[in-house]
Amino acid sequence: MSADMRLLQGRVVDEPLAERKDVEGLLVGFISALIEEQRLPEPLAVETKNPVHGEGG
Amino acid sequence: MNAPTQPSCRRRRARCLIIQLARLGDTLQSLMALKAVKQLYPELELHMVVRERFEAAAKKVHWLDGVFTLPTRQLIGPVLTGENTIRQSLGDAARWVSPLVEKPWDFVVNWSFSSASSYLAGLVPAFVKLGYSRRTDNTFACEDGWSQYMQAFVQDRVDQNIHVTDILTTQLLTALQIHLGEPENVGNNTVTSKAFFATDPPPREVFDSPFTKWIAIQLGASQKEKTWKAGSWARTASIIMNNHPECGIILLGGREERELETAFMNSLEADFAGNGRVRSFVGATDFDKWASIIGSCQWLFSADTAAVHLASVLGTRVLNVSVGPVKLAETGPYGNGHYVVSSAHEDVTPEAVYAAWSYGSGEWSHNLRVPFEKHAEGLGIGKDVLSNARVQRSKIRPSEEGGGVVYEPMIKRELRVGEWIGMAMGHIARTWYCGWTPAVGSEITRDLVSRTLVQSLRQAEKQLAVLSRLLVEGHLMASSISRKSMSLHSQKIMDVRDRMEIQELGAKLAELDQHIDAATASHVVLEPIGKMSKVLMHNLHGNSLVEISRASAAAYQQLNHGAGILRDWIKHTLSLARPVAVMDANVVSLASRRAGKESTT
Repeated sequence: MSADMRLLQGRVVDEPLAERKDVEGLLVGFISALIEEQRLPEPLAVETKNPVHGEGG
Repeated sequence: MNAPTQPSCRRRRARCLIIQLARLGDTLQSLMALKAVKQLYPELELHMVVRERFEAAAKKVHWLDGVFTLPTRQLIGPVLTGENTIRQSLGDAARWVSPLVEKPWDFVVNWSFSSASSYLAGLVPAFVKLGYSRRTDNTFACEDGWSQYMQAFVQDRVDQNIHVTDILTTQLLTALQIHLGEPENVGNNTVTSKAFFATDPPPREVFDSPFTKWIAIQLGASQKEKTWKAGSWARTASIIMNNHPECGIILLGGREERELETAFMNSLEADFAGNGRVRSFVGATDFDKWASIIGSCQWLFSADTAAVHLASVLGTRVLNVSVGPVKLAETGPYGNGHYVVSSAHEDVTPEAVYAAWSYGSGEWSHNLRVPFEKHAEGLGIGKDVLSNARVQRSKIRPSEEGGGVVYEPMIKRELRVGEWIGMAMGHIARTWYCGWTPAVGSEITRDLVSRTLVQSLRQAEKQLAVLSRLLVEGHLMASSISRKSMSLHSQKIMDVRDRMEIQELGAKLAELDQHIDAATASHVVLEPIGKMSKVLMHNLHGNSLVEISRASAAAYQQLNHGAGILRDWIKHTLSLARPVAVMDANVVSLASRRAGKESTT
């Protein structure tokens, strides 16, 4: 059995700079998520999941 | 392997941006993975985004080509105090992001696995993206296999036995291999080395005696429930200093751990307090000094803290006292010859920790040939003291056996159901994402199989048969939708009958998904398949019904493949537990035994 390369190659974009993006929406999402993480005792993982591995530092 | 899609960047001097917005322990594990990548792709340009609090570690790494610091406080502080709205803060955020988006990266790798980082990864242009990101409509995207594994298993606390550092390394190396070609052959060089960081020389005021063997103890942990009692650390230190006059103790910790330092000193045997053999630097080290001290000690003793990872990269041996909700296989010390002590039920005892350290320190003499329990007995530590203890030793497995770090038990204990699931899930992941299939259950021997495990697996076996049928049905149904939509002239305008047929198939598939949910929720062994199913279905991606239904069929097929491996593991384990016929030569019949007795009387 061999691995499926489609699962491993990542998301491939032919022209990254030309990719249509809602920059403002992404920035709002970024700042909102940072604030949300700050309010929680541990960094927030996606869609209510636990943090990956929360070693202190 | 299947044929790849069009490679995006076939040049050796590619630019790669790593996003790591988690904590120091995660940053160190990412750096360890990157070091392995850099060894194999020396021309790859590596840049990293880290939080301001943890930038010191990344900035000490001379082989990183650039470090971008995320000034979290500066960006969100005014919003948190009410001084600014989120919209008013966008200008600052845009200015911070601008150097990252100037020109496209060849690779953007998001190893933070968090919501905030997915937006950042969505913003940054790149030919290839790995990890959490956002699509052009801003919806969440987790499209590569290893990231789906992280989301479904590691983040959802499914038992699995692949170390996070190994997951990250394999994820990036495989993508590089696909897009850039085969790596340079550097043999089996170990990644861990004292040259990992540009560390400061050992502080003279600490290491003033060349004859003392120093053991650093990191007091505290990231969470209260992961903290080992200061009194237990003090008792361990006292036992060591009583039995090993050449050893000294260095206490480490943050400013917030001064209470633990006081408790440690109060619990220490009076003879050792103030005689110079115990030196405290709690609350008195910045990153450089902390790293320099840990790098200069023979051992680091610590619960689950970033210090474990720091010692791992610096080549200092680790004795990890694992208490609380820790997943050792994922985040334990990385490298060869580290020891981990945990307890099945009660608290870890200082005697068990001392026995593990003493055994580890003496490896040069016994070469692991003396059983651990016998060694402990020689120290006067009986089996009763060790009855609940689990002692494991880390080892980097040869690549022909799957590679990566594993934790070998020094005291044989029956397998818990969770440990069994961890082994099976690790096997499934290696098959899915590495194409490497070891023999099923090769890590399990008959004496590790308990009655509880057998009972649990027998129940799981029945439920798994139901689940497999459902997954096959799902594959067939999704394939039907794909075939039906392919036969249409248009994906948007279609005959009413065709539309109804597709809607009907879709409704059946939704119903089937509910049955799959119920089947996976029916047994703990099947739960991981259910969690992966949710992640795969959430991440279905395509521009047309044909593409989405094809992706859906592939997802059911992948899940059924995993279920098949799980079935093989269950069968193999249950076969180990079956009674075995005794060889004829060893059988003594009752009649001959009686006859023997009569002849001797």
